Amino acid sequence: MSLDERKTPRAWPAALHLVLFAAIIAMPLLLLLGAMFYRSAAQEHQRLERLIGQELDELTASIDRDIERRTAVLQTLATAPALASEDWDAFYLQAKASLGKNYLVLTDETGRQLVNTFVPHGTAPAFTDNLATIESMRQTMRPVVSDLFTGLAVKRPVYTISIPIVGDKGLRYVMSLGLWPEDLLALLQDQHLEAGWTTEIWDRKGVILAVSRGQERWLGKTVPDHWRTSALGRVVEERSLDGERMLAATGRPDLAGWTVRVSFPARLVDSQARELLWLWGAAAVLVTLLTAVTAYVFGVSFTRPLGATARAAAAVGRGDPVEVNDTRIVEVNAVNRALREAAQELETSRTALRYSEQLLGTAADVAQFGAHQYDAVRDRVHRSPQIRRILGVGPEEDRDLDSALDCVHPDDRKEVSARKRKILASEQQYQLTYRIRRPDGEVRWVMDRGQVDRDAAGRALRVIGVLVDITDLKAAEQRQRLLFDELNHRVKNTLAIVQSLAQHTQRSKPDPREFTRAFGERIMSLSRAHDLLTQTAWQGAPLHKIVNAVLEPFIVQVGRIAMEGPAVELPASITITLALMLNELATNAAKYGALSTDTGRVEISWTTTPTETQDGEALSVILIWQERDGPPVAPPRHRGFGSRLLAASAQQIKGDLDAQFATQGLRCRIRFPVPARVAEPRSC
Amino acid sequence: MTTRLVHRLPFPSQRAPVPSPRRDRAIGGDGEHRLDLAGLRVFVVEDEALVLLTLEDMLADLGCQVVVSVQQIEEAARLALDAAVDVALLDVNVGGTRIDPVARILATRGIPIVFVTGYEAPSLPPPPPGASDSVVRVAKPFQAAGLARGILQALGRAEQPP
Repeated sequence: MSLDERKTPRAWPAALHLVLFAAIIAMPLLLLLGAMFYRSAAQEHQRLERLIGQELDELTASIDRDIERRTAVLQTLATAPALASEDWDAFYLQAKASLGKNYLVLTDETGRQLVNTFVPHGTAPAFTDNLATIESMRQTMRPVVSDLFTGLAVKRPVYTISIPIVGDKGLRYVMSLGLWPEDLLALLQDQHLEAGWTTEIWDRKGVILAVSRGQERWLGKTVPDHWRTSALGRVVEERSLDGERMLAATGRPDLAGWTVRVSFPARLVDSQARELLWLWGAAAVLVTLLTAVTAYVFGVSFTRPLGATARAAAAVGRGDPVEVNDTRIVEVNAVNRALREAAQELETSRTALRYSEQLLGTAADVAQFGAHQYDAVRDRVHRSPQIRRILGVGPEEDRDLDSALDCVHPDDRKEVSARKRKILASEQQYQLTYRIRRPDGEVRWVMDRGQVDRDAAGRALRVIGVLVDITDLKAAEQRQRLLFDELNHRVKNTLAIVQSLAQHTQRSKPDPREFTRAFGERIMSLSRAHDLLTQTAWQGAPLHKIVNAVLEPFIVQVGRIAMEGPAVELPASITITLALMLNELATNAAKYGALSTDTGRVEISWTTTPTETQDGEALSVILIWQERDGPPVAPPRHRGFGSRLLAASAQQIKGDLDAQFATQGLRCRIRFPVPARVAEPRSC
Repeated sequence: MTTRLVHRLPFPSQRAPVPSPRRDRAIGGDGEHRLDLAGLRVFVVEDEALVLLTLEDMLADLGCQVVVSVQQIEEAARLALDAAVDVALLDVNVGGTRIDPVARILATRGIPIVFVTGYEAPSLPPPPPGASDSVVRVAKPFQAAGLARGILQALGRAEQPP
């Protein structure tokens, strides 16, 4: 399975995780809050229902008490003697006095009115219109509270409380107390209910007797049917007479057939519930917001340091400097610390690597070697910048071996190619020396050394090697070879001179003892001339030093050899030759000339004058060898070796020689040119 | 080549004619060389006075006639053009100048050359075109016998048909 196919889990920002976390924590809290509010609302509802029930109970009790009280009044009147004696006039007066604004109607068992205190005595209607009461009473023989009706005499809605008066033969009279709906209204109002509460009383037919609000409007009207059918004592939600939604409960007094209703506006209940809901909602929103904000703030306080850490990690990866401050989160700080340490370690090792690379690069530059690597599997040659500098080529792509060998000098290419193939096939280490040709045509010598890496089966994997520019070395080798050749030539030449000296000395001095001495002198003279040259590294020598060196062994008495002339440097090529000439002259003088006597003197003087030769500016030196006070001089009879040597030597230094055998002594004039600047030592 | 061998010897007729190389090879020893080389006209270039004198003396001892004996390269080059000689003994380094131009002139004229030098063979002027493998060299210092052998060798080579 490759890396790409690996499933990566879906990821969210840390802040979202925290918000989720907070939501999970906050959810039960919100639910609890909601439950509390719900419970509180339910309790409020229950309290209200209980209150409605209480009010209903109290109202029915008040009605019952009122009926009881009035029944008691009637029963008191029933015991009046005037009734018993049927003295209706007296009874009328007594009743009227005791009842005040209410009135009393007394009928017999048939409904004939006997007394009616509402109207003046004697003007009462003949029959009562409240026959339903009489009929009911005849059956139950118990007090009866009537429905609302409009009395014949009264001509307005009234209700009555009637009691039976029983005689010997059953019901004898019915005594009714006429009562006004206002009395009931007063009773309702006496309950002192708070604003919003409404109470209604209606009779068996559903006709309204009293309403705590809007009595004038609703008196005598019939209540809606569903009011009459609703279960007693239970709180229900219904419309009021005005059409308002109410919570209402109905009840029935024990003593009347009426129905009592107590109601409370659902609007007020709802508004309470709404308030609670608002409160709960606000609390929920507040909790949610607080949670979300807190989660976000915490999230940010996490993600910001984490982001900085992530950036720092990326910086470590890139090798940039890591700048990450400590945060308030211990774990993040630990990661940051680890990152800083890692960055430091990386930097340290990178510095070390850079240093070592630099060192290697500098070493390669100084040593003028370059590295190359050959990937034998892919047939690719990689060459380092140093190697490309040696080869004189610019930056390049890796190339195959054949084209890489193009840089080899055409004369060497075939052999180098063959050698490389052989090395690849079977060798472990190699060293080749060959020429390369740069693109600009310059030819340089290189040494190519390397090593072949092989796999277990012996196949070449790669070749790592170095190329060293050995052109200078080769040139030095060449120079050295030339130098050796030159040295050999000079030694051989010197030996040839020695050989000649020996040969010619032998001719003039056949006696071995004399030969040894004369030959020794010549060798010593030659040696001293060489010494002079050695002192100046074969650059030449001053003329006076040459003269001194040659004549030194001939000085037997101070003052006999004089020397005079300006300072002049002679090149090496002239030095030896002139020394040999002076030696020849001195030898001749010691044998035949001025130095052969005790009084003879030799004066050596020279002058220089600037002149031009074909080689450029030069000094013309005229050296005069003058012998005085010696034995009489005569020209030699034949031209000896000395003369030939002097002549040939003069030729050698491109000069001329003039010897005069005057009587006072030999005078020899040697003229030769000296380059203005003493030249490099030249071969003799 | 053969024209060179038809010697117009300037010496009296008692001088033996220049021997043929075949005869030369059969001959050994110093004494016979003297006879063999007698009358040979030699062209000598050597800047070193002492060595030149020695060469002259040796050649005289061998019976040769030193026709040209010079120490300067310019003079040598001038004389090489038309000097009537049988063999040339040349120093390689003459006063700091190489002998090559002189050698070329002489080689063109078919005159056998012997280099008398301290230099090793690789430093010598290349053989003239058409000549066999290498030039003849007599190493300094030399003895009369070696010199004679060198001269004979040069003569023998020149005798070979090209």
